[in-house]
Amino acid sequence: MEATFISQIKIPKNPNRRFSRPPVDFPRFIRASSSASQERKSYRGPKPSKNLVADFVSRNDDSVRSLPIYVGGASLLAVLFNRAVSGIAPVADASSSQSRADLLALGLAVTNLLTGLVWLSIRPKTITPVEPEGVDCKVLESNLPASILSELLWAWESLKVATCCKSLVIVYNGICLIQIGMAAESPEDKKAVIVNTDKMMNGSVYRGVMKSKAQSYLANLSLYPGRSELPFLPPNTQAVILQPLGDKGVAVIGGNTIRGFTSSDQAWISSIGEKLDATLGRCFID
Amino acid sequence: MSIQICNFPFHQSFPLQPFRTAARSRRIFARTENDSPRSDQQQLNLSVLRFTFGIPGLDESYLPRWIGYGFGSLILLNHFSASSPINESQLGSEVEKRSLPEEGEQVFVISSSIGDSLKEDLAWATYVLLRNTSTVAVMISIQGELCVRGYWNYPGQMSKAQLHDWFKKKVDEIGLADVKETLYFPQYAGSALSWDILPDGTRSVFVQPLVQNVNESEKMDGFLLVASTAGYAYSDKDRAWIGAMADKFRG
Repeated sequence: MEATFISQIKIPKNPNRRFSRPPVDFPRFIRASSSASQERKSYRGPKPSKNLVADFVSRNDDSVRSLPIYVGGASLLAVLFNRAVSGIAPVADASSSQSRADLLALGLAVTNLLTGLVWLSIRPKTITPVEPEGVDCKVLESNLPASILSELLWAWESLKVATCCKSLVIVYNGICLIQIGMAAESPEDKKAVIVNTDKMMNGSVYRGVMKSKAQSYLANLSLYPGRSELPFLPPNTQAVILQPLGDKGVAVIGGNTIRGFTSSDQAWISSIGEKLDATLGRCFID
Repeated sequence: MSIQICNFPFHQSFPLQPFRTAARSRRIFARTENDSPRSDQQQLNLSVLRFTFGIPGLDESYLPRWIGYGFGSLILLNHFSASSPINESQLGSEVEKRSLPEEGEQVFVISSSIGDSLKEDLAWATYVLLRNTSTVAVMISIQGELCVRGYWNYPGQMSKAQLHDWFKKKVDEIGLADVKETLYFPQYAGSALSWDILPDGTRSVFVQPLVQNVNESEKMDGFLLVASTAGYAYSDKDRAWIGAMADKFRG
């Protein structure tokens, strides 16, 4: 196995050359300190290479898309200008090599121009996120064990960073364990609307999710009448995922973009749902 | 109403078939017919936009088909003859197409000197990473204690404890515990000797360190390494989720 592997080794572009020596010869430094810790070997290995052109293009998408138009237009003008100052009679026949060359260059310039127009027109449509209307809130059930608390907060942080999630509500065993992120503002006291667990659990959306035991993804919330059963979410929440936690609870995850949760997000959310169910189930044994 | 647009003098009786003129001039004509007897209905019947070379016997209506076949086969040829993929978006669609390494067996090694709840978290995290991304090999290290799962290149016939120590030694040689920022190799092609613990056919490697603030020494330190046999396997979103998984162990 060793022999076949060595034949496949290709040296990457920027190898750290110090590694060509076998590790046995590399001197180890042991620093005696009060905590008697051994100096860790520093990382020797390939460093990732940066693709500057790709990064530049993806950052300046608009201007790169219109670049061929400018290049094509400039070359068109250059050809005509060259023709004008060269002193050759402006006849549009193919009798002289100059004319032929000009025609070919014009053809290229026009193709460039048309390419630029095509690039501008077939741009993928970006769906803009909608800022949720409401207030920031962080309501946690009191007397929760620290491990559960850290798990719930970790779930919120993960969703916030990796997806378009802006609101999270977890209801388990009839209790709202956490309501965090953006919430609808109640008109009376300008604070967040509290989750009415009984009302939600009697609603058709919750019951449907519990019955099917599967995740429910409402990609464009404005199209669903069940919207009224989730009054605690900001009124302009664009997408919602309802993830059942076993058969005792549900996690309501609100996002700020229509169809903002990808299939990969859905898979991750269902994995997190299973983990939360295992953790919470251990804690809430009735 | 019939409109013909042509670039030579207009003839009153215009035959339907194209006829040849002096050079290889092209005739482009469009015909719009308003054939509705009712005055309020405007029916536009844009019939055949005819483009022709003027060669008798060549039916130009099949031209788009032939152009399509020709360029389509060129595209296929390009796709199959391309040795190393360059475009990230072209290859991003091939994410879930991971092939399991031919040699090597699966291994699941977890350190014995950590608590049960942490063991359970590590087992769940490695399982989820293997399931939700195109990862074939995952390793999580927390303060030197390892959890290794998936296909790895390790010498057989070792007990679990010996295997754990062997992986630990290899990790120390690479110096992975010292990594300060995330490393992503979307086109990994093999490296120097100590990295041979990664399975054959590894194309993407992503390393996420567990300590972000180097100055704070009380945060847990360690790293999370995932490897896949597909190139460009970890998109921005995948890396965000892997970072979230690593956060779980940062304490």
